[in-house]
Amino acid sequence: MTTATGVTNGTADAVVSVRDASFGYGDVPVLESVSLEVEPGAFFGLVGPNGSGKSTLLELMLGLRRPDGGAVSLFGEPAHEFDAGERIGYVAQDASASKEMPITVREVVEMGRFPHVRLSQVLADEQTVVGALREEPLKTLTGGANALLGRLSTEDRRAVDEAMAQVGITGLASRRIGRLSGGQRQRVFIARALASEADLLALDEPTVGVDAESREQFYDLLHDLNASGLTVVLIEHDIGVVTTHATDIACLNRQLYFHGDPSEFVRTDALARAYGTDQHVLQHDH
Amino acid sequence: MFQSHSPTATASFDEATTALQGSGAVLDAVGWFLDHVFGAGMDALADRLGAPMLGYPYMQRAYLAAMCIAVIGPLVGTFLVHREMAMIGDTLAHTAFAGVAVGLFLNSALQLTLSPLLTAFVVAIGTALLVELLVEHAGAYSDTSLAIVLTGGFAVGSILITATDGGIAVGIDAYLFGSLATVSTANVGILVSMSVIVGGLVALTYRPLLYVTFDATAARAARLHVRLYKRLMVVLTALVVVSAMQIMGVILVAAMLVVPVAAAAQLARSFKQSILLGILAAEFAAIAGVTLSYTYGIAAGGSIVVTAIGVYAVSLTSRKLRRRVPSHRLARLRPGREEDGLEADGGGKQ
Repeated sequence: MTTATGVTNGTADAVVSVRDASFGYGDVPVLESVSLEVEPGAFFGLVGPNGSGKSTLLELMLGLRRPDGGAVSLFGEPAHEFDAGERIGYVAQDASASKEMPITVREVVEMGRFPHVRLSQVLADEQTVVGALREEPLKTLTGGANALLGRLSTEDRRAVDEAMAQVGITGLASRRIGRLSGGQRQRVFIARALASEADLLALDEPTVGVDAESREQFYDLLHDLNASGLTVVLIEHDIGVVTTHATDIACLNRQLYFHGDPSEFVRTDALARAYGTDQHVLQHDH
Repeated sequence: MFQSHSPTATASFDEATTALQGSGAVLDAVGWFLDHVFGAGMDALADRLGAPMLGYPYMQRAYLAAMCIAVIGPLVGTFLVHREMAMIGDTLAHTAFAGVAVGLFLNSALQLTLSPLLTAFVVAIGTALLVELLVEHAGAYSDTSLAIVLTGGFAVGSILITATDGGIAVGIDAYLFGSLATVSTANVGILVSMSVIVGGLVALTYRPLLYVTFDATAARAARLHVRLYKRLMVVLTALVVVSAMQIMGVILVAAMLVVPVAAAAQLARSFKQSILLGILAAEFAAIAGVTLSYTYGIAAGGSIVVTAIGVYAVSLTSRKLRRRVPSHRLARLRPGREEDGLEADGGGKQ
């Protein structure tokens, strides 16, 4: 077995590169020898039956877990050591912890700016505190105080407003998130990732329990965001959605059954083999 | 009158709290504040309202102590309740009781002069971190393990108290039910210091605490130190319950972390507002509870908690009533507001 810290030999500019990764919970193997790459600007769809290890693979890709064997890199660094959190947006399956939690849409979207108000973000590259104080005393002091108290700057607030406008939730800014529909709520989480100026948006079955019409609008939004350059990694149980929107598909059931182009995917028997039954892909017409 | 307990207990608490102060500087400052600022204000209020009780120094200490608890309880409790960890406060309070017992036992057995309050802090913080480590390992809070820690802590406490020479004389009820009548300047000093420490820590870590409370996985993906903040949250809880325990009692102290927060959650529109409303609800309960306790000679902790539950019932009812007003009537009452739900669903496509 290679170690998780081993240097990957994937494409240098891949957003995510998984090399021969394996993972298990105790003695139960979940992933076996998985290798794949997510290129910048890709819409990467990950499909597979329940319990096939999709969510675990996504967690490995984001560096939230370390593989038992093999290596995972994120933006060219070992994924678990990568610490530019603002570059990653994550949307879970119905993510809000408790629908009863009194928190507004704006408060949630503002979370996307939290990685930007860290003390280290106040200093430019290679700059020391003393140097920064000498060059731009006022900006450094106010930036430092803001970072310490986690206060958002004008620039942060502008990013929040723009993100909410981009996904069409400006009118909901002061509403409690628990009072929104499932589709609206998931837009809020997308806006949080956009406010963060994320380069990678990862979604784990985001539309479970969302009605059909809102789902379609949601995927159209994802499609448009991807077209504007955002790299998207999507776990989705509806294979039709993935074949319609994704530029790359991986089909997983503990090991990888397919990795490649959607048009090729629908012609192979990878789906049937991964699911162990006869599966047909229903194409959605848009 | 107030919850009665033996003079021995008072003496041990006073020794404990005084020892914990270390230098007398904090104590002096709090004493000065009590005499010249808070006390002077209360004296003036006593004259104006014709309520002499507000002028008694022991009542002034009781009010200030209860008001401090009403700030730090909901401040920390809001994060706990919305992380669905309401029971952790109760669990830590019961293990803090074991901590007090450990202190008394060690003093008696080894002829030491440890402050029982110090051992309570140590045991409660230790248990808090242990519970959090167990959760990190298991991945979720388990009712069963919290129940085991809670009852286990209490069991150890009761064994040690009865095994300590003169332990029964210490007055177990003083720890269980708390007391306002015997609030010393040192007690108030601890609560004021804790208000500053807990308030400061929450102010410095508010945003990451909020992110972790709301969506821990996304917070991890954004590279926040989720474990650190979760541990901080339980340590803050331990600090609050131990410092409030002497006044509220082991059994009731956790209510101040939960009940006002639940009341605020019914009406608050945002998280910040829910913290503020929680503190307001708790302040009302604290002031009303202390007043009722003095007027009718009933237990202070119980009066505060029952008042807080009353506030919760009122806020729950008012929310239910508000919901029964049809939304189109509300919209007509507020003509400037758009039907933003429709706009968001239909107009989102870029």
